[in-house]
Amino acid sequence: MAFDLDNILEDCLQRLSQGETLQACLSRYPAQAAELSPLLRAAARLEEQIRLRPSAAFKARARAQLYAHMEAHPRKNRRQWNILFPISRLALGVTALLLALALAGTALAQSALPGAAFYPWKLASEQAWRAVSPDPMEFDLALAERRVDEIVAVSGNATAQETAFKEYQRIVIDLQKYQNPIAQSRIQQALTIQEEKIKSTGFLPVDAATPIPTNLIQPTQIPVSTQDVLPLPKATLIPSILVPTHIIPTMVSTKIQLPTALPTKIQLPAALPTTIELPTILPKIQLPTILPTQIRIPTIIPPLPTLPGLP
Amino acid sequence: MTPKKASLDPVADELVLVRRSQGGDQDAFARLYDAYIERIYRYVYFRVADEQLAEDITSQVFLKVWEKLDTYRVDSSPFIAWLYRIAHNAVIDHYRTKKVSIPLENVSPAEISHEDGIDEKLDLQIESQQLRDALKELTEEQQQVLILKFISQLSTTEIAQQLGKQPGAIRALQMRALQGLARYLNLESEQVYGI
Repeated sequence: MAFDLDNILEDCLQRLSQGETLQACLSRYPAQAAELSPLLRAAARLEEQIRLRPSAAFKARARAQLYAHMEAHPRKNRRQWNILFPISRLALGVTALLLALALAGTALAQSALPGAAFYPWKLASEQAWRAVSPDPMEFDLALAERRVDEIVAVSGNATAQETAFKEYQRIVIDLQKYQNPIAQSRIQQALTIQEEKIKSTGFLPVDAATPIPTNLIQPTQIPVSTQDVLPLPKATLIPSILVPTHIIPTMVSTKIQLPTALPTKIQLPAALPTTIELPTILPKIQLPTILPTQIRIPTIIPPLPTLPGLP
Repeated sequence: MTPKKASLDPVADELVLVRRSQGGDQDAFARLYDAYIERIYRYVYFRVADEQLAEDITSQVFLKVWEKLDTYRVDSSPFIAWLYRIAHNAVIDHYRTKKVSIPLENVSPAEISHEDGIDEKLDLQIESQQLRDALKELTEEQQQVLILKFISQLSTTEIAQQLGKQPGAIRALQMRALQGLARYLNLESEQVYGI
């Protein structure tokens, strides 16, 4: 019942606000009219207070005060930022995540040994650091030391050692650019220690793996058939170009002989052409369509020229 | 009961005005001020029962709204509900800090400066006093519901949003509040004519 009265009261208040009279509204709900009536009249008395209005003077004064306040505290146009904020927040988040991943990856890569997935990352990060290093030579020496440590660390893994050694060699070549005697002394000192360290691991790089024999021992027996010892190489046809010897100059002349005199006679062709080919199509001649109707005869006839030999 | 006036309808381009105001447009905010000043004033006046104080608090409410516009999210609640929340907090702050209220009977007629005629103003003032006395007998929630519904002209849904309750709970509160008010105003004993 109470729930019903809530809704009935709400319905009546709605109708009254739309202009329906109290009596008309109560007549819609005769069973609840006695209960509804005081509630609706209380509501009507409250709503009468809507006539309560601030004075025009206050409204004008408060408006002026508001404008003065707005002038003193201007709002920056933050709406654009509000719109962009979710985007910029996402971009910032992604950037921060990438940065964190890059830093974590770089930190993780520092302990990577040759052959590990992060080893190229380690080398790349070293190059980045080298670019901003205040002392590139010392940095290179430190890198060389690092490579040596790697060679020591991966002892027993020839491939990994070879990778580290190649990187070491690259650094050593780079170090050759420092020609300053003091620098060279420092480099030489460091490299000597490093080479000793490498030797201590027993690692021999591919180039130095086959030592050059210092004393040759003559073979005591020559095999009768080499086929038993070594397989014969497969015969291959190597194309060759034979250059005739006569076209190869033995000596290149250093002087150019210029003609001393111009020819005195020019040999003309002995016979002239006997036939002349005439064009088969003659050009079209345009004749005037209008002939002159009057011919003016000159009034003065020029004197005849005297012919030589005539009296 | 008087039908709702056109001026009390929601501002047609309210959303546009709010967005422009958030962007720093002073004229747009002045239009929002014009649209809502009376409702906010009436709400404050009914809570503090002093015209001068109601004017001061109402002015402060709009200055505060201008400063806090960034915090208003269009999709969270209607703008008017947000305004009432600030007005409500301003009234609470006033009582918390000042702990002073001027009884309505102490306000002399000379100070009453409402727009209507002087007799009508006085009648309205007396009526307001009676209603305020009756409202005092209700719980804070019941007072809030009645003031927001009948003085500020908010819908049941808007009040529910404002007070963080379900519309059904607001309807029940409204009924109990009106029953209490009718009792204190001695309306229950009056005869219902014409039924």
